[in-house]
Amino acid sequence: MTRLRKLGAVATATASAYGSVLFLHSSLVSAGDNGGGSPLEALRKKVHDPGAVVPAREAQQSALKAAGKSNPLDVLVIGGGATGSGTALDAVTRGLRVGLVEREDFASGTSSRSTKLLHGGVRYLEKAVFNLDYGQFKLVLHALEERKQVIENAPHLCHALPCMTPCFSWFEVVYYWMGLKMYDLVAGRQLLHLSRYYSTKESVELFPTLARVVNDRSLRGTVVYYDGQMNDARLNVGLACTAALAGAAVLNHAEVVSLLKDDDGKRIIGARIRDNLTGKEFDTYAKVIVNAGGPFCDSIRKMANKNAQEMISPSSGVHIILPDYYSPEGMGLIVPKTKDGRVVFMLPWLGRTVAGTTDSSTSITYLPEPHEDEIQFILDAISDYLNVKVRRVDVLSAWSGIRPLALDPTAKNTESISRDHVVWEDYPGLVTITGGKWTTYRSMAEDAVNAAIKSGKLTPTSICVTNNLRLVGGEGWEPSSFTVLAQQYKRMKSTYRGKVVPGVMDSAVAKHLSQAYGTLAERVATIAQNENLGKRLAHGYPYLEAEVAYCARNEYCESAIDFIARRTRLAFLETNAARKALPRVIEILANEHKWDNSKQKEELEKATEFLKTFKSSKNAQFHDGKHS
Amino acid sequence: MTRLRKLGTVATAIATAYGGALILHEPLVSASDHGGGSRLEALRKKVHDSDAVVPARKAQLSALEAAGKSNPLDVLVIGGGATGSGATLDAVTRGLRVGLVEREDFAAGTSSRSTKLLHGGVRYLEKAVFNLDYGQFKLVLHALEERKQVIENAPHLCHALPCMTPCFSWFEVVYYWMGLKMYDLVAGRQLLHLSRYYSTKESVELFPTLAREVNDRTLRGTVVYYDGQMNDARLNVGLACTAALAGAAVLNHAEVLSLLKNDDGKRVIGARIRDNLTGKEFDTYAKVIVNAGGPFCDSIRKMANKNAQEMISPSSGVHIILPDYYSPEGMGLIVPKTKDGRVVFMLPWLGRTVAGTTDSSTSITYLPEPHEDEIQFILDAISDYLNVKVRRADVLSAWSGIRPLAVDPTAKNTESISRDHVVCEDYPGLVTITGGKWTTYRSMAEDAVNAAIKSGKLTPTSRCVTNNLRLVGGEGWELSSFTVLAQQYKRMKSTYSGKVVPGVMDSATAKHLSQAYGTLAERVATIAQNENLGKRLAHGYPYLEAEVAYCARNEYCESAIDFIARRTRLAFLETNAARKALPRVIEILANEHKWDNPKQKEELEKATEFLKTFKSSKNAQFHDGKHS
Repeated sequence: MTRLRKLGAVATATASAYGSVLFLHSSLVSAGDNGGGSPLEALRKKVHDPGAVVPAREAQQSALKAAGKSNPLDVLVIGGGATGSGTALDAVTRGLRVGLVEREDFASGTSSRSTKLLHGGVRYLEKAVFNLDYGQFKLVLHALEERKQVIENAPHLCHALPCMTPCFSWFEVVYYWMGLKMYDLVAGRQLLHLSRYYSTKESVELFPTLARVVNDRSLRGTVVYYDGQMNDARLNVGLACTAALAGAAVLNHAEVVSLLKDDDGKRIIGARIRDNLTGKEFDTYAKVIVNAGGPFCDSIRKMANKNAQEMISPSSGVHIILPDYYSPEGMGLIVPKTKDGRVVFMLPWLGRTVAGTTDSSTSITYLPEPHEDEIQFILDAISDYLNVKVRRVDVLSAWSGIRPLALDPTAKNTESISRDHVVWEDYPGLVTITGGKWTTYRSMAEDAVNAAIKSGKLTPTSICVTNNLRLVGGEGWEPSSFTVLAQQYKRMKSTYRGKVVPGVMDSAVAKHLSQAYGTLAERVATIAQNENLGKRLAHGYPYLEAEVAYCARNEYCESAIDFIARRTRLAFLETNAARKALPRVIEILANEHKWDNSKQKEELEKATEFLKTFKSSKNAQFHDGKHS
Repeated sequence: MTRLRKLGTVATAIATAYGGALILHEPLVSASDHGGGSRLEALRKKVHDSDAVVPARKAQLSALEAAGKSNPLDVLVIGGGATGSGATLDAVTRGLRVGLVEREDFAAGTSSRSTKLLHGGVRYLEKAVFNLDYGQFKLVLHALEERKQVIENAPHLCHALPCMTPCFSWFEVVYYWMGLKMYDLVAGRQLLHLSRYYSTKESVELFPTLAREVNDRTLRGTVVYYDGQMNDARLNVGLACTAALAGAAVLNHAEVLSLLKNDDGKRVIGARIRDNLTGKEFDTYAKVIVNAGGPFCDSIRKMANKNAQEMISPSSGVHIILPDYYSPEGMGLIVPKTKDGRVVFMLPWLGRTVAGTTDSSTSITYLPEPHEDEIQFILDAISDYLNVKVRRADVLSAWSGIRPLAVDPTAKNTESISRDHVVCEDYPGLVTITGGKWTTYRSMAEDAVNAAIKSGKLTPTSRCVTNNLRLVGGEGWELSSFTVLAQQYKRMKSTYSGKVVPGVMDSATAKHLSQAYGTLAERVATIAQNENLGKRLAHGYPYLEAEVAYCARNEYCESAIDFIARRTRLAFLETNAARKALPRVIEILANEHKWDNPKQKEELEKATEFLKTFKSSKNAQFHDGKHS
C-alpha cells in the first residue's frame, strides 16, 4: 500500500512536470503579447552586434554618479556574483535603468568557487521519492528547467558532462539504474542525455583510473548520467558584460560604504559608493536596491537596520585540483556514499581534475582558506575509488567557497526547509536575495527583479526575457567554431631578444579561446596576431598574453587577481603556474591601464598574498606531520 | 519468398557463427594436451621477464651465419612485414629454429602504410547478405575472431575505435542500423561494443565538425559501430622483437640476393644474404624458406624459377594526415558511399586525423608516392561531410601503400575470388604467402607455418600458441599504466648552453610512451631521466630524445628513417616536423651506433629523400595549377 501511494505521488508529480512545461510556453506567448518579441530582437542586436563593445569603466562610473536624487536609477544591485549579475541583466533587459556595484570583482566570492556543475538535483529526487516530499520534487523540476536554460544561453561556457556512479553490488546497479531512469523521465524535454548502465569492462575503458575493487567489494559496473558543467567565473563575467552591453552601469571594485535613506528615514533611496581603484566616493540613487551580497548580504542589511537578524548560515565547500591523469577527459565520477556517508565527486575541468565533497560549517571571510584535514579527507575518499596512487604532492590548487545557506526570517521552519533561495524585503527599498545555487541563478534573478518592481512600483517595458537571451559570445557559437581560429590565425610571439616569431594556433589554444570567449574569440586571436601577444603565460596551459590585453579592454579586468582568478582560472587550476605568470600579466595590465611602478609592485604583492589562500602542495600547511 | 530464403540463410549462418565460437575454444584444451600449457608459460616468462633484452644485432647476424648446410634452420622467413614477422613468431614459439631477414626495416613496406584499422569486415557482411555468399560470410567470422585476438595480444598498441556512419535519409538510418545490429549479432563474443543510433543533435555533439547538410540532404542522425585501431608499424616491430626474445634470429637491413638450391637443383635450401649495413655477404641454410615479401614476393619467386607466373595484382591506397581539429578525439567517420560510390573514412590517429579512400591500381615500387589527384579526391570527398574548411594547405603528410592483392596460380578462379590470402609452394622448399590484411595477420602466419612444417617435414615441439601470447610490452599493461610514468619520472633536458633542467613528465608524453612501449615504457622514461634525454624532438609531438636511444638499443633501430617512420610515426604524421627533428635524431643514433661524419651525412640525405615521398602541403607537386 505504501508503495502504491508512492507510485501515485510520482505519477501525479510527473503529470505536473509536463503541465509546468505547458505553462512555461504560455509565458513565451505572453512575452509576445507584451511586445517582448521586437524589443527582444533589438536587444539581441545590441548585445551581439559584431562591433559591440562594453562601455569603458569611466563611463560606467559616470552613469552611476549621474543617478541623482531627482533622477534615480530604477534598480541598484549590490553584489556582482551570479545572482547580482543575473539580476542586473534581467532588470536592464526589461527596460529598467540599472546599476550594479561589486566590492571586489564579478564572481570574486562564492560564484567562482562552485563545483562547476549545473545539476538537476538527482539527490533531491531521491529525497522526494523516499520522503514523499513534493517540495523537494518541485526543486528538481525547477532545477532541470534552469539547467537546460543556462546551457542554451551560454553554449560556449557550458556543456553536458557524463557522470559515472560506480556500483559495488548488484543491488546498487538496480537501485541507481532505476533512480537515474526516473531522473531521465522526470527531466522530460529538459533531458541532456539518457542515462545508461556500463559493464565493469566498459566502465574501466571509459574511466581507466577507476578501481575495480573497493574495500573488498568488486565493481559490478557503473551507471552514467548527465549534468551540466560550466566555467562559473567566466559565466559570471559574461553576465556582467552582457548586462553592460544591454545598457546597465556595471562597476567592479566599487564598494558600498553606507546606504542612504529618505528624509523621514523609512525607505532606502540610494547608497554611498567608494571606487576602490581611486578611493573616490560618490552617492548613487535608486528607487530600489537589490542586495545580492551572498555571504555578505547580512552586513548590507545591517547598514539599513543595525539590529537586523542574521539570515545567513554559512557553509563551506573545499575543492582540490589534481593533474589531468586522475580522470579521463569528458567523464566525471560521483560516489553517492563514501564510508562516512558523504558524497565525493571527481570531475575533469579545463584539462585538470577537480575533486571535492559536501559542505561543513564555517565563518564568513572574504578569502576563505581550506583546512588541511578537509583536503586530506577528499584525497582519502577518492583514493579508495582509483587505481592511481593519490598523493598530497599532486594537489595543484585547493580552494574553499562559502555557500550562503539562507533562513527566511519571516517564514515558519517547515516552510524554509524546502525553500532553496529567499527573496525578502525587510526594510522598505532594500530587497535581499540570497541562498540558492548556480543552476537556478536565472530564476533567482527573475524573482529578485519581480520583487524590486513590486517594491518600487516600477514600470518595465518588457516582461522577463532572460530565458530567451544568449550571453555575449554565445549567439552563433558552435562546438566547431574553434577550427576557424586554428586555420586563420597565428600566434606572433616576442622573444626575450625582441625578435618576433610566428607560432601555430594549436588546437588546445584555439579550443580554449573558443570556449572562453565564444564568438568573440577572434578578437583575442587578432590581438595575439597583430600585437605580438601570442605567447602562452604558463607552461602546460593554453592562456595567452593577448587575453590579458583583451580582458583589460573589454571585460573590466582591473587587477592581476581579476585575471588569474576570474578571466582565466589559472589560480584555481595550478597555484604555482599562476605565481610564475604574474610578472608578465602585471606587465601587460600596466601597459593597458597605465600603472606606475609602485602600483605594479602593489599588484604583485596583493596577488601573491591572494595565491597563498590556495593550498597546493607547494604552500600547504600541514598540521599532522604526516606529509612531506 | 526470396526474403524468407535470405532470412533462413542468415539464421543458419548465425548458428554456424556460434558453433564456430565453441569450436575455437577446443584448441586451447588441445594445446594443453600437447604440453603446450607449461611450455606456453615458459615462453611467457622468456618474453615478458622484466629484464629480458633482445639479442644484439651482431648476435642475430652470427646466428644466421652459423646456420650452415649441415646445420640448417628449420625456417627462414624472407620479409619482415606483418605476415613475415608473424610467421617468425609463430614458428619460433612452436619450438622451431627460425631466422628472419628483411631488406629494409620491419614494416617498411605495406605494413606501415595501412589504414590502421582492425576491422571485422562489415562491408563483406553486406555482400554476404545481399549476394547470399557464404564465402564472404566466413571472411567476416574469421576477421572478427582475429580482430579480437590482435587487440587482446597487444592491448597497448590496439584499441576499440567508434566509427560514425552519417545517415542522410530515414531509410539510411534504418538500413545502417539494421545492418550494424546484424554485425553485432554475428560478432557474438568477438563484439567490441554494441552499435547504436545517435540523433543529429547528439551526433554533432560527439563529432562537432560533422556537417548537418550534405548535397542538399539533411543529416538524420548517425549509427556508430566499433572496430579496432592500431599503430601498425609499432605492432610490426613488436612482433619482430617478441620473436627475437623468443629465440628467433631476426635481422633487418639484410637483403636476399639469391636463393640456394640443393645439388640436383630441385629444392630451395637456403639464401645468399647481404648485410646492407656493412655490405658483407653470407649464406644461410634452412629446411624451408617462407616468402613473405608482400608486393615483392614475385621477385623472390623468380629467384627460384625465373619463369614463375606473376601472382601479385598491386593496388595502392593513399592516406593523408590532417590536423587534429578535423575530427574529435576518439571518434572516426566512415562514409560508405560518396557521390562516386567509393568509401571515404576519416579517423583520429595519434593526435591527428587520417583520411583516405579505397584503392586504385599501381605499379610496384619500394617508395610509392601518392598522386596529387588522389589527395585532392580525398579532400573533396571529406569536405562534403565537414563544416570545417578543408584545405590542401592543411595536409601535414600523405603517403601511398601498395596492397598485394593475390591470385593463387594453382587454384580455380571461383575459389580465389573469395579467398583473402594465398599460401602456395610452387617451388619445393619455397612457401609463399601473400594477400590478406592486417586484421588477419596472425592466422595468415599460422597458415604459412603449417605449410612450412608440411613442406620441410618439420617436427615442432608445440602447437600454434600465438592466439594466446601477448606481444612484448603487452603483458600486465593497463589503460591506467601511464599514470605511473606521470607520477614517478621527470624529463631531464639538456639546454643549448649545456645546463640540465627538469621537466614535467606530462600526461601527453606519459600516455604516448605507455601506448608505444607498453610495460617497457619505464625503461624509456628512465633514459629520459638518467641520461638527460628528456626533450621533445618536435614541437607539438610527444616523442622524446630518449626514444631514439632506447630504440637503437632494444628495437633494432639502425637508421634515421627507421626511427622517424616506424619506431615513431613522425614522418607519417607531419613531414615537416620529421624533417626538423632529423639532425637531433641522427646525432643520438650516431652516439649509439658510433657513426662517423660521412655516415651521418649519408643518413641525413637518405632521410631527406625519403621524406620527399610524403606529400604534405610543403612538398606537394601540383599538376593542375589550381593550388597555391
